[in-house]
Amino acid sequence: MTGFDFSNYNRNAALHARGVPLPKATSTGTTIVGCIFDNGVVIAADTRATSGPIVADKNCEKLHYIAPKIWCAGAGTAADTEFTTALISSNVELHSLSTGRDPRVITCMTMLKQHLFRYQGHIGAYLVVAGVDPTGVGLFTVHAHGSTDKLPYVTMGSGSLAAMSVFESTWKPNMNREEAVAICAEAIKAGIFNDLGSGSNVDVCVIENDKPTQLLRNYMKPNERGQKERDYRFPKGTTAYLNQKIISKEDMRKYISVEEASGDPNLMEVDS
Amino acid sequence: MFIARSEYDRGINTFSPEGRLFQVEYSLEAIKLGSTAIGVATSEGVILGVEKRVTSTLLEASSVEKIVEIDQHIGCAMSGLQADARNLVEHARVESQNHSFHYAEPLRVESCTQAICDLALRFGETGDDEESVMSRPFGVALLIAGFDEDGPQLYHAEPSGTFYRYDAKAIGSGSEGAQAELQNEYHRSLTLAEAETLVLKTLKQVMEEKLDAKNVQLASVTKEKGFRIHNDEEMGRAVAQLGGNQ
Amino acid sequence: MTSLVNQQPHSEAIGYSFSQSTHAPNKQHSFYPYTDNGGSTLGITGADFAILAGDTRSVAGYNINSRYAPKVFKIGGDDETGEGAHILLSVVGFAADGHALKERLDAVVKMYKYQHGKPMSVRACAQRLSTILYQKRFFPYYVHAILAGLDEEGTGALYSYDPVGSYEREQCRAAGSAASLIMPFLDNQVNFKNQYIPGSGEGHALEPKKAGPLPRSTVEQLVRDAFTSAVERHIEVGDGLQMMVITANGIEEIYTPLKQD
Repeated sequence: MTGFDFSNYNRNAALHARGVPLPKATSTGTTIVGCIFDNGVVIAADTRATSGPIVADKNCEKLHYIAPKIWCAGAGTAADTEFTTALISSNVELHSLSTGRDPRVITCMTMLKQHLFRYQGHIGAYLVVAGVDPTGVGLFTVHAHGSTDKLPYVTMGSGSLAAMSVFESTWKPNMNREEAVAICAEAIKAGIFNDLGSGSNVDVCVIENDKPTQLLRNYMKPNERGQKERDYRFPKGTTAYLNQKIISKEDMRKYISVEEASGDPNLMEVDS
Repeated sequence: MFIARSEYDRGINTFSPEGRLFQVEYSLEAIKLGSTAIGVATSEGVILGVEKRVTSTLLEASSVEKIVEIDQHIGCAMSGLQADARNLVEHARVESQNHSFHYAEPLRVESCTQAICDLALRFGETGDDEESVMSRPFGVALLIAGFDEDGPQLYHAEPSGTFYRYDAKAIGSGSEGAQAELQNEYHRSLTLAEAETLVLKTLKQVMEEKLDAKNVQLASVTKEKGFRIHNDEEMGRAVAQLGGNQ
Repeated sequence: MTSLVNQQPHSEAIGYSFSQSTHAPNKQHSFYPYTDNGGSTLGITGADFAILAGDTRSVAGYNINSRYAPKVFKIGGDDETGEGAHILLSVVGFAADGHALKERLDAVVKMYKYQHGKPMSVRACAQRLSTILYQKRFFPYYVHAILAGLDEEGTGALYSYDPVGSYEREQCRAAGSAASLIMPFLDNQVNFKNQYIPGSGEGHALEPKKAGPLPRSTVEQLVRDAFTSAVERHIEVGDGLQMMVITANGIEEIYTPLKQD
């Protein structure tokens, strides 16, 4: 990636001046947290993505891989958190290759803040960076404008206040792994239930010294969908159509391989 | 009359020691000077009738309006000061229109009567600066005839603000004789045509002039046609029929 | 924590904008007394009943004001519990206006009974609500109201309103923030829109599936499914479902918990 393409800037500015509204970006309304413990660091996130008041994704992933022992939780504009972390992940890997050392969390944090500062906040990525490296345990927040913080427990996103209330009331120094995971999950749940921008499940990532990193995807599922009371499968032939053309499996086999699906062929997949 | 009365004559808000409001009582007297008006309610509808008192051959009889429409389903006959009646009728018309505007349904006859009596009673009220809004009670009584979900109804409203529902009622100068006649003749199975005859017959008995198609006015309220004032042709037929009956 | 950004991390602003910052010398002051308290309501009628339902969440921005703030009310009842009422009103939008409107209509319906000696018909109440709303044409009650009851024949009646009093009698209506999610579902499941009778014709010339009054149990299931589904995809809907069912025997209230996230 050589940089952003600004060729549409003038056109879009002109359109905007004439009243064409901005396209709505998917934002991860979000609660993300991080907390260090005696042998490592935990980060956690909810899994709701929103577009305005609409839930765009009920189970998205907000914990991003940077390096085997450096992970990042992202809030803000979904595309920005995904591309920024992926870009920095590449650069961290290249840096690690050229130096021949394990990457450090502070290096990653510095690369992120320099990248974000260059774009003056227009890249809407709000991140929690965490990991362990040869210097020890690292936990940082990075704001879209480029400012950073280094703290033993952090929260970000629209649910940051709800989550922080859990840390401020129950955090204690020198916690072990289980305690750190529990407090992070509890903080995310506070965001899920008290902040409309956050919802669905809890994802957790535990990065520990001398142990492989554990990504605990959907560590908690406190919001399972209730059973629907009626059956919404339509009888075959319910929909009118203008014309029909039947392509047989034999015809399709000329171009692709076709396998029989298992299960009831009448079942319609309406929900995941 | 007692001289003592005069002390309590003027204030419309002052009771006499005997517990009477003289101005209100006088307003009732004013009605007794008015022309006779009669209403008869039957199961088919209500008939209203008034004498017109055409005092001069030069008077255009059709300009004497003593039965007026309030709404499609309500009308009224008056006796007493006609000008006062116009105020009450105007109020009732506004109330009726307001009701159908707000509730998409016709105003009930009783509610209409109540609205009229609410205005009639406002003679006691004062404005912002303690000045009375109305100088005296109304000098007119109304017979309010209408049709609603409870069927045909006849109400009598007085300047005192009280009202009652009647099967048949006469007001005005000939009311005493007329009421006695109605008392004798009324029965529940009257048809509308019979009621019309009864009204005319009763009017004829109490009127000083000889009854004809010009000096009386009839009107009816029925479910089908609502309130209708009889036109000249209908009046002529009704009066002619009365002559034939006797 | 020292705040180095003057912007709350991601509340409502998206991360980019094409708008040029104009350094206007004179600042415009404005007063906007309305807030959107979110939530959704839904009404469906049947042959001898009407159901009005609403979620019980009240929101402001990304915050939850209350997990139990009812949006469906009994109108013209004898006491605080609404005993003896025969009309239902749901209001969604600006909760304070909704509350004021409900209090107003309740008072009007009670006064009507005193003044006219009969209970107000749903038709009359519907017209009265319209005039109440239109009287505030230039400072409206910021609500979408739905009125429900039984008509003179005893069949379910439902009237829906815009904020300034335009109204219509309907079979079903969804209002509020998730109306755009629920209404198409209702079109399809209550009025059977886009559903044809299988085998009744060829291709496009099929016979449409006829809509008719649905039984009460079906309607209750549809309402619950509509809300559990709206909760999945709309952040302002949740916490609880309040359902009021009006029949000739009176009004029944049914509460069902909803997801709280």
